[in-house]
Amino acid sequence: MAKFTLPINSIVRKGKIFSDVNKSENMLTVEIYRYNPDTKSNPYTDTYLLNKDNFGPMALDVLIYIKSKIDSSLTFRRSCREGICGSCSMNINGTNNLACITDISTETKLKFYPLPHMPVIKDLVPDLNNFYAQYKSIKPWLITDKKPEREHIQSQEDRSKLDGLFECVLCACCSTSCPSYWWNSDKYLGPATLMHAYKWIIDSRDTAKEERLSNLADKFKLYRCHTIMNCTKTCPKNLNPARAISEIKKMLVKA
Amino acid sequence: MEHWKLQRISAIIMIPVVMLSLLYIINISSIPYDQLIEDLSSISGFILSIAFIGFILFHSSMGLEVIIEDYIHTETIQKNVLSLSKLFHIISFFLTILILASI
Repeated sequence: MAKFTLPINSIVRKGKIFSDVNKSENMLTVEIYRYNPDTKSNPYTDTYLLNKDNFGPMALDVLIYIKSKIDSSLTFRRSCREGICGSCSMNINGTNNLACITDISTETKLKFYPLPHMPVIKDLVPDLNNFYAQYKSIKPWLITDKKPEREHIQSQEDRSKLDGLFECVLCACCSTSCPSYWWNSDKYLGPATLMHAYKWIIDSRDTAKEERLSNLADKFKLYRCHTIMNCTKTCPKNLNPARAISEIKKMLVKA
Repeated sequence: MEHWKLQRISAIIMIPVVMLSLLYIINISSIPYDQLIEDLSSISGFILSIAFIGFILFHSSMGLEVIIEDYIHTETIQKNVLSLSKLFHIISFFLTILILASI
């Protein structure tokens, strides 16, 4: 059966409160999910009362400030700081987003949680092994019989078909916002992987369209998408995985 | 894929069938009892009623199948619940035919 109750060690408790601000200042209340597998204790949420003048305008600036000035044990992924690497994906104020491109200048309260419904390695770091294995399963590389002397030529028109698809940075915000992916992440590929699959299917340089389509024609891999469209709503890069999935379904009807 | 396609096709077919049936049901209070019995026992009334109930049950069976697969992960329980759901829909359909034929 689907699990409707939480395991006992997953119940989130209240943690400590840290303050480096007087209440009259430009205050920001930050609540962060904390989990340390080494202590084998329940996860908890620490609260930080901060002065917004001490850091930059993005959510990642808050986390970096806390890690460098208050609590060095706070664990999160980050790299590029400009929405290109997809490392700092997390749940911020209830919505999956990249912390580095989330503007918090007008916020007075922030809640940081790891990406939903994923095993947590530590604090805000989810285990994405299954997500990457699913991505690998669609063979995300060029398959072609042609061996040109130099690069594979593509017309401007064909290249433009990949716009809105190639920008995906595999941050997993979309997949982890999808209820279908929550219930069946072991079998359903999820919006990010399916959008990448669609990108390879419509790439004019790729010659494995039929093979790729037949690999997806499965009641769980593809058809667990119930057009909920949380993926499109949450995508930090404003892409449309729901449309890509529906295009694959349409292609399979015509095939 | 067939499942997904059939669910869409049945949904599209249901649009005119349900609209026609609803138009009739909305005005049912103004139709005399004898006229109502005559309508339901006529060939067109019989066919429309069978189509109305049949497509609703078919579509409902397919929808429930997806929901059961989504939420019940234990294989044996899933198979049993799926069989029960199909049985319920098939019995409901044949009961409908029996009732309509007896009018």
